[in-house]
Amino acid sequence: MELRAAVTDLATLHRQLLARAPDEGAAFIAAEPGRPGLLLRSYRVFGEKELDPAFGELSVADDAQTAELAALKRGGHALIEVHTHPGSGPAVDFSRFDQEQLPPFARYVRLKLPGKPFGALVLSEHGYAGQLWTDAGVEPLTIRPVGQRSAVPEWVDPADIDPISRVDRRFDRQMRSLGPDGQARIQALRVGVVGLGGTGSHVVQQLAHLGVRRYILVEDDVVEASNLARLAGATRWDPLLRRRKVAVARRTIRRLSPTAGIKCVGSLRQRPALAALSDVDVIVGCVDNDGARLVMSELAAAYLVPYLDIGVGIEGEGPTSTIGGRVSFHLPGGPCLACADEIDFDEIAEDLESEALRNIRVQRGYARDRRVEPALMPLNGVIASLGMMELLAFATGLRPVIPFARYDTMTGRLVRQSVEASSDCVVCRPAYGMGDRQMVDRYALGART
Amino acid sequence: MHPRVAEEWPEIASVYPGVRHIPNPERVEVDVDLEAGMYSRPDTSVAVLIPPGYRAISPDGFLVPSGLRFGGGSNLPASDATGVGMPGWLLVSFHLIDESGASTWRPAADFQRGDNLIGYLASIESFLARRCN
Repeated sequence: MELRAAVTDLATLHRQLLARAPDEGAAFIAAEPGRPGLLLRSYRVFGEKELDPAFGELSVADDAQTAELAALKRGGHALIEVHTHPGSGPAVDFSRFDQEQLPPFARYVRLKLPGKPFGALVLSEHGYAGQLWTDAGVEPLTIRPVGQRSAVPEWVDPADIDPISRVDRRFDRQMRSLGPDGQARIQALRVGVVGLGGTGSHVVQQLAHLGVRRYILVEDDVVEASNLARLAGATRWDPLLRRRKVAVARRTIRRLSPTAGIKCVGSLRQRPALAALSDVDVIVGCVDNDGARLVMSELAAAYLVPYLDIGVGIEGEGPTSTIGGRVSFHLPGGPCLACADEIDFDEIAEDLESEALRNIRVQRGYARDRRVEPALMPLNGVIASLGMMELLAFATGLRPVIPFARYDTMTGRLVRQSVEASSDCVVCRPAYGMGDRQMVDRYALGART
Repeated sequence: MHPRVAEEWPEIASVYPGVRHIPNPERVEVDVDLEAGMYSRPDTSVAVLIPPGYRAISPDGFLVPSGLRFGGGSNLPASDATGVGMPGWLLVSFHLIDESGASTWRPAADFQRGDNLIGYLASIESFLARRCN
């Protein structure tokens, strides 16, 4: 089984534990079930006074252990015990003492935290080993870091991150820039694309050209005549035949990659879509409403899934108008759209409310009009391309991801924004690493909670 | 139960000991006393529908049983709530907004540091005590 963890959490945990070298360090990780495997929600590194170096081997003092187990029980989390073997090199493994002590400790913890697995990890400066105790027995525990490839700690085996697929020679020119390893990583990505309209159709087209082979497509709209001015890959027959936008996207991908795995899962407000998006390598959001952005932000935080949001906006007409767009990349542990104050909660309330509630507000005269937004295909193309460059940075480690950037077409300026994760964010903080317990499927229309 | 409501539940139950959680449509119900003579009854049940995006977004309005009226017999500023899955209830118009119409809801990751359901229910009690003004 794998433990999915933000690279930022892994790097900090590793640094804090190894700061005690040559002495051993110890920490408890609070973990949640994910799809598949476990999710790192939080961790606590024990201080000098909480450790008990009896018999020359490290253990956590009883008081600290009891307090942490009680906290884990209150939070409903599973425990993964972590300790270090400084100087053991990349082939680090559990010691004879560990092998004697861990099985009874696993039984004890599983009695204290019933129904939860128990895990143990041992880290060195250059490697790790892990085991997990479940009802089915004992199995290896591997770490799957999520976040910027350029920030993945070097002590994690790259083979645990993504499978290296066979590289197709048609990507020769790309490989000359990204290298065969970078190309292989792009081909191995599982990408969820939410919204297949003006920007999403560009995104799908570029992903297919780049060589992405596994897609989750989320959209339930039908192509209309007014879409032809901006829907990449559409033909004039599509609105006449009432083709779905997802069918246009699938056709675009199939023309370049006939054997690509494509799963069409309906709209974001349906359970299959919410379930499928919880297990992709990256979500690319190409939507036109903040309600959908809230759902994706929360899902991304709950399952530690990187979320790239691409948005365009046009206000006014002529020389005084504002025409631009924004690319934001919410990496696990990093700032989300709400941390950056980039979503409008009043708009979200209206986007997510039921039709019945909206009808009541319309009758009372205080529902905002849903205006038809202006659109320009070149703008969609520019912003989608900026987003795809960030995807390349994320997937290949070409450079660090730029989490927030804004493009103003009227001045031709691309502005990089500095945003910090907020410890008080009402969207990403409570959801972080909560997995299924975040109950993201409550956003499904008609959901019973 | 909605995960944010679950976080707040022990606190809500300590302030409103008779509080009920009903899953469909998901709502929290409490019983509140009313000002003598102001309404057709001395007390009423109050229900608050939990939006899926709660606590990032606030509840909107509240519900009371459809028999509740002002003391003189006039109707509350409310609509029939059958459409939102609450037949026999009225949806009362009630919003946490400032003079410009902007929301004054300010939630936080830790529910005790920002707006929450207890505060929302307390605002409803205060609103009812002011004869829905």
